[in-house]
Amino acid sequence: MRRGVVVGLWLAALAACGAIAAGATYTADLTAFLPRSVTPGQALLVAQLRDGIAARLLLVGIEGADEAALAATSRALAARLRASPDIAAVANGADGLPRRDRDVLFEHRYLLSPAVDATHFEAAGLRAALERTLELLASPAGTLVRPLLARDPTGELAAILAPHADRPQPAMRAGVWFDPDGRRALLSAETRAPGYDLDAQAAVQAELAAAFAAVRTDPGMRLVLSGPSVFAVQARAAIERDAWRLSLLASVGVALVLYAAYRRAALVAAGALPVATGLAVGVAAVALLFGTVHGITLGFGATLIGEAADYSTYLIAQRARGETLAATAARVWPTLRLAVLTTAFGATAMLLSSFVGLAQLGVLTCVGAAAAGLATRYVLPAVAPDRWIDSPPVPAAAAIGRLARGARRLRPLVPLALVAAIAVLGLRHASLWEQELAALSPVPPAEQLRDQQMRDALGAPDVRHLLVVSGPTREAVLQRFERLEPELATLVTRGAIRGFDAPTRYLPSVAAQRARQAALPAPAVLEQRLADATQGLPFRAGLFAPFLADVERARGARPLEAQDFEGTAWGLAVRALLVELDGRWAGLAPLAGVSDPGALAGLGADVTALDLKRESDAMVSAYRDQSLALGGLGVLVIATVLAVGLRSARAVGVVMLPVIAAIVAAAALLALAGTRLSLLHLVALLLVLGVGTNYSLFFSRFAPDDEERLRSAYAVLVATATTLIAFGALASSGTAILQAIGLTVALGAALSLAFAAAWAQPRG
Amino acid sequence: MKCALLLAALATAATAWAQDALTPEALMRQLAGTGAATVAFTETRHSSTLSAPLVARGELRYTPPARLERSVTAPVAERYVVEGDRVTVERRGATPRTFSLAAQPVLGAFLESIRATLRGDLAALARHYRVEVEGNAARWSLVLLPSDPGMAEFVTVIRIAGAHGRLTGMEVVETAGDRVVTQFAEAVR
Repeated sequence: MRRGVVVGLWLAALAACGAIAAGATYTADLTAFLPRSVTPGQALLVAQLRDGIAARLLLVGIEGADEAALAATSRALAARLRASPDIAAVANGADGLPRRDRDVLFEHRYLLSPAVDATHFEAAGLRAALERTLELLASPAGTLVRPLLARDPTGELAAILAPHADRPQPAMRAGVWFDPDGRRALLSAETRAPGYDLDAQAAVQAELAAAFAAVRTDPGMRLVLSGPSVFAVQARAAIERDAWRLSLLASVGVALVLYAAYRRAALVAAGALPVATGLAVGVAAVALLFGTVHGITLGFGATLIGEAADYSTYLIAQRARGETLAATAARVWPTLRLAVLTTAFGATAMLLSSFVGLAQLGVLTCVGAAAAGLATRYVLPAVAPDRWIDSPPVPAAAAIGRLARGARRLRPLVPLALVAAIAVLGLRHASLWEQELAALSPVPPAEQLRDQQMRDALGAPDVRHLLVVSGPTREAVLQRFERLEPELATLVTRGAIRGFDAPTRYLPSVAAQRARQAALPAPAVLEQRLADATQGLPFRAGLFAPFLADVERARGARPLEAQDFEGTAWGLAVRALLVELDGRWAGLAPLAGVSDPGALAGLGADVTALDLKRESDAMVSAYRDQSLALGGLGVLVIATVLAVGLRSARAVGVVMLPVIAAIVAAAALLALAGTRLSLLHLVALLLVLGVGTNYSLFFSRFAPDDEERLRSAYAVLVATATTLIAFGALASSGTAILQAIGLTVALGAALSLAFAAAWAQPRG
Repeated sequence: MKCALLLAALATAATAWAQDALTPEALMRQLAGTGAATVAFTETRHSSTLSAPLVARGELRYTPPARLERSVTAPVAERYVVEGDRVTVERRGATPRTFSLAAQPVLGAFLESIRATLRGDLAALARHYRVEVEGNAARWSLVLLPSDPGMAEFVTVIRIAGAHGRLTGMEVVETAGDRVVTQFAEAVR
C-alpha cells in the first residue's frame, strides 16, 4: 500500500516536471552564459556577440575553377542571395557600390551630402560646383560623371562617397572580389536572423549551399563558408554527433559493468531511475525559476548530475545477502543522505553567481541531486520487488580486501600529494589559466586561420579599438558624433590614430538633414541662380531641369532613417555602428592604428574608449574567478554540512582532505601536461568534488563488520568504474570541450578513489 | 621556272596576309617592347549635354611596368598618377587624394585599358574587356569591349589606334552617346 503511494507520487511528480520541462523555452544563445552585471564595455561586447553585425556576417568563398568561372558564379550567387528573404545584404564587389546602395544614396543625396550648406546653392557656390563638374567631365572620371550630369551637376553623390574612398579594398578580378592570389572569389552576406539563433543560421547556411550548387558553372567548384555563426553551427553539430556516439558507447560500457555487479538486467535499468528523475526535476526547477533553460546548462548539468548515477550504485551494490532493497536503503541512508546533502548544498554556492549560466547550473545540480537522492531512498526500493534478494557475492573479495588494506599504508602520500600539487600550481601560476576567449573556441586552428585570411582579404579586420557614445535616442547619439567627428579628424592629422569610421558617415542626424533641407532654395530662386551660375559655361540650355526637379523633391522629403537602408551594404554599416542596448542607443566608432590611446581620453566624459579584446579577456577572467570563488564557497558549505552530519571536525577532515587533494592534484597534472585551465575544467572539477566526497564518505562510514566494510569498498569501486568509463569515453572525443571535461573528471575520479582509500578508511 | 615564280608569288602573298592579320597576342608582343614614353595629347569630349566640345591638353607619361601619369595642363592643371593598384589625383587648390583602383572599378578598368596596352599585357586587358585587333603591325586598332557589367554600364567600346609599337589615338564611346577622342602626338622619348 505504502509502496503504491510512493510510486504514485513519484509518477505524478515526474509527469508534472515532464510537462514543465516540455513547455520550457530552450535557448542555444551562448551569451546567456555571460554575465548579468558588468561594465558597459562588456555589455556592449555581449550585445555584439549576441546580435552584432559581426555575428551575422557570413564570409563566402568560391574556389576550384578559373578566374572567369569563379567571377561568374560569384555574380550569379550574389543575385540569387539578394532575392532571398533570409539574407539582408550581399556584397561581392561588382559595381563597387552595389546598385541598390547607389540608388538609395542618389535618391537622398541632398540630405546626405556633407557638402550641402547655406552657401552651396547660392550662385557662387553653384558656379564653383559646376566648374568642378566640368573639370571632372574632362578627366578620366568623366565617364562616371556623365550619366549623372543632368540630375547631379553639383556632384553630391561623389561628396557622400568621398570619405569612404580611401578605405582598404579587397582585390578585384573580373569585376568581383577575390583573395590576393586570385584563387578564391569572395562575397560577404549578412543574415537577417541573429547570430545566436543557431537553427536559423544553420538553415541560412544550407540555403546558401543549395544556391551555390544551383548556380555553379563547374562541378569542381567548392563553397567555403566562414564566420562566427558558421563555426557555432559546426561546433554544435560536432558536439551533438560526438555526444551521441560517446554517450551510447559509455552507456553500453556502464551497463555491462553494472550487470556484472548486479547480475540482474532489471536492476541495471531500475538503477537509472534516480538519475533520470533528478535530471527531469532539475530541468523543471530551472525552467520555473529562470523561464528559459540554456542548452549549456543542460549539457553541463547532465554532467554534474552524473554523480547521482552513483547513488543507486551505493544502494544496490551494498545489499547484503538476502536483504531487500528497502532494508539496504534504510541501512545506508545516513551516509547516502550526507552524500546527497553535500552535493545539493555545495551547489547552492553557484546560485550566488551573477552569470546566469552558472546560477542555472547551481539550481539544476542542487534540485536534481536532492530529487535523485530521494528517488534512490524511496522510489528505487518501492519499484524493486521484494524477491530480488539474490545479491551476488563480492567478486575477488580477497583481492579487494588486500587492496583496501594496502591502500591504507599509502596514507602519508595524500597530504604529500596535496602539498606537491599546490607547489606545482604555484610555480605554474603565470601560465595556469586560459586568458583568451578565443582559446575556448572549438573551431580547429586551420579553420580559424582560413577565417582570418578571408577577413583580411575582404578588408574586414577584427574590430578591437572602439569609441562608444551612448545616448537615450539614436538621434542624440548621431548629433553627438557630428560634434565629435572634427575632433577625430584632428586626431588623425596629429597621428594619434590612423583612421576612424563613424555612424554619421552613413546616416546623418535628423537635425543635420533638416539643416541641409533648409539650405535648399525654392524652385524659382534656384532656377535664377542656376541661370546666373551657368553663364559662359558650355552646358546645353535646359540640361539641368532634372536637377531642379530633384532639389524640389528633396525640399519636401522626410529625413532619412536607418530602415531606408534596408537591404544595402550601407545599411549594414549603419546597423553595425548604431546599436540598441537596453532601451538606449550606442554609437560605435571603430578606430584603426591607435598609437596614442591617451589622446582618446580627452574626447569627453560621454565618450568611452574600448579595447574589446581586453574586455573579452577580462570577462573570461571574471567568469573564472567567480567560479573559483563560488567553488571555494561550495567546499566550505560541504564542510559545514559534513560537520553537522558527522558531528565531528576530525571526521570532516577525513572526508574532505582526499577529495581536495585529488582536485588539486588533477589540476596540477593538467598544468604539468601543458593544459591551460578554463571554465570547462572548473566545472569538471566541481563534479569531482561531488563524486570524490562520496568516495570518502563511503570508505569512512562506520561498518560493524568486515563484510560490510568490504561491501562499501566494493560499491565505491563500482561507482568509480562507471565514472571512469563514462568520462573516459568523453575524453576520447575529438571535440575540445568534451575532451577537457572527460579527461579532467576521469583523472579526478581516479585520484579521488586512490586518496580516499588511503586516507578515509578507518584504521585497524 | 614558271612554277617557281608562282610559288614565290604565293609565298609573298602569304607573308603579306600573315602581316595583315595581326592577332591580339602578336600586337601585345609588339607593344611589350615599349619602354618609357612621354607623349603630348589632346582629348576632346563630344557630348549632347554640351554646347561646344570640351577639350583637355596635357602629357601622358608611361614608366614600365606599372606607372602611368596623366598631366593635364589646360584648361585646369590636374595630375593622375597610377602606380600599381594606387591612384593619386592632384588638382590645384585641393589636397592630393589617393585611392585603390579596386575601390573604383570603372575608373580602374578605364585606366587599365591604357596602361595594360602600353605594357602589352593581354591578360590584364582580358580581365575587363573582350579584346579584338584590326589592321596590321604597321597600322593597328585595338578594340576593347567591356566584359564586366559594371564597366559595360558606362562604356560601349574603347578603340585604341596605333602604328607599330606606338599609340596614335584613342576613342571611348560611352553608353550615354558621348565620344571622347584622344590624339597622341609623336612620341617624345
